[in-house]
Amino acid sequence: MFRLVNKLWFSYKEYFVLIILLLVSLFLISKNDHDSVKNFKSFVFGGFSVVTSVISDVVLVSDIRSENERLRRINSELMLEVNKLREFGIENEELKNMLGFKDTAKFSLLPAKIISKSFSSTQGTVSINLGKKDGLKPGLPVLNGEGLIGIVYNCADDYSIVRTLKNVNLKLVVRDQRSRFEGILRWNGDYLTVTNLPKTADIQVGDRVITSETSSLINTPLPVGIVIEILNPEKGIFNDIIIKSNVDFVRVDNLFVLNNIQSKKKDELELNYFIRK
Amino acid sequence: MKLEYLIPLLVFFPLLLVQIIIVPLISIEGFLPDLLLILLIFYTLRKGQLYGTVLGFVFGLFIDLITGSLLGSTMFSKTLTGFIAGYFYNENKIDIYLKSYTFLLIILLSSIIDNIALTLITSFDYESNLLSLLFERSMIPVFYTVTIGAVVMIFYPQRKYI
Repeated sequence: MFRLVNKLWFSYKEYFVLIILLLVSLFLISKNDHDSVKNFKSFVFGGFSVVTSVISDVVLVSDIRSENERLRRINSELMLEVNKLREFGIENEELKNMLGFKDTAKFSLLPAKIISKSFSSTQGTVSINLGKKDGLKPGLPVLNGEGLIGIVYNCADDYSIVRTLKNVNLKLVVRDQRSRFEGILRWNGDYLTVTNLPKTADIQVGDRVITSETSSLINTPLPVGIVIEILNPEKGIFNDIIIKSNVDFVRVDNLFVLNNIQSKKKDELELNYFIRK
Repeated sequence: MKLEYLIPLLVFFPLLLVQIIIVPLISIEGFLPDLLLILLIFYTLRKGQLYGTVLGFVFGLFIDLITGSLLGSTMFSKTLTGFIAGYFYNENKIDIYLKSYTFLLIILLSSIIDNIALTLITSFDYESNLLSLLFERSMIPVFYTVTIGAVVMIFYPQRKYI
């Protein structure tokens, strides 16, 4: 018996090893959301990010000058925009007070820098230089001046992994800003799409898409992109739409994490995928 | 254990840093060449199928852990790639393969398998168009990787340093 096993092993060891390793891989895929796996990933990722961060600083220093000029220009444009919005804000506050609305949400933006980007076209992730010590938790939205980039997925002490909109595993409830129609946004590897919208949904090319307040993941309206194409308008009972993100994911280097401080009661009531403790 | 079996891992980490920090700067429409796949094939052709299979598994493990990908996905695709590339291992033809266009053809085949396996695992669902998944999404990175492989082939050292 031993001889037979020995003979089989020496004749087919490559195949045995292949099968065992593939099974281990599949087993790990099925255990991705397990806490121990997440903790181990955070530990390894945190350790490697220290090195990545240092090298990233050196490599990307040449970009700083052009980035600085671009930011100064954007800053001037935003200053004008802020002035206008401030007026609207005051007016809005007065109107809310008149109506007796209660606004409980408070925000703070934490500036962060990307230290590395993943190279998968379907699993877009970036590593940033903020972590648990900076108050980051899984589920917090990440954005820049152009719009939503993604959400924090995993945190080490000093670094975090962010799942970008170009990650097939990230699905968000979004809303057409004009018609208020809602759908679920996902990356299909080529495009950001919202699928299975009823034909009656009032969606037009050029409409702005924002995150929906009804989402348990990001319940703050943040700009996502614009509708660039409506698929299957003539046939079937559903429409799919393609959305172009406002963010240039290739060029983005600096971003903000939105530390969304919500009502604790609301957080407890919602069945949130990322439980924010 | 022979030290030479650990050398690929010593090369792997600096190359991974290049892959995640510098290579994104030369992306085309968000598609990137896979330098680590070239490294895997390079060492598989030099050390054999079994070694390539295990090396693919180890590379995939580190890539998944460090880049935050779905743990197991790159492990699966790289293990399979190492195994397939291992079929081209021939002790007497190592230098011939690494210095000729055969190397590029092996990269092409392996890269197609790697991309298809990874795409199927990470993004295939009942709504997806299989042909679109396999061709549109996989071909650009495949050809980009082959192009970088050509550079490796051209500059392959006459003497064995690595």
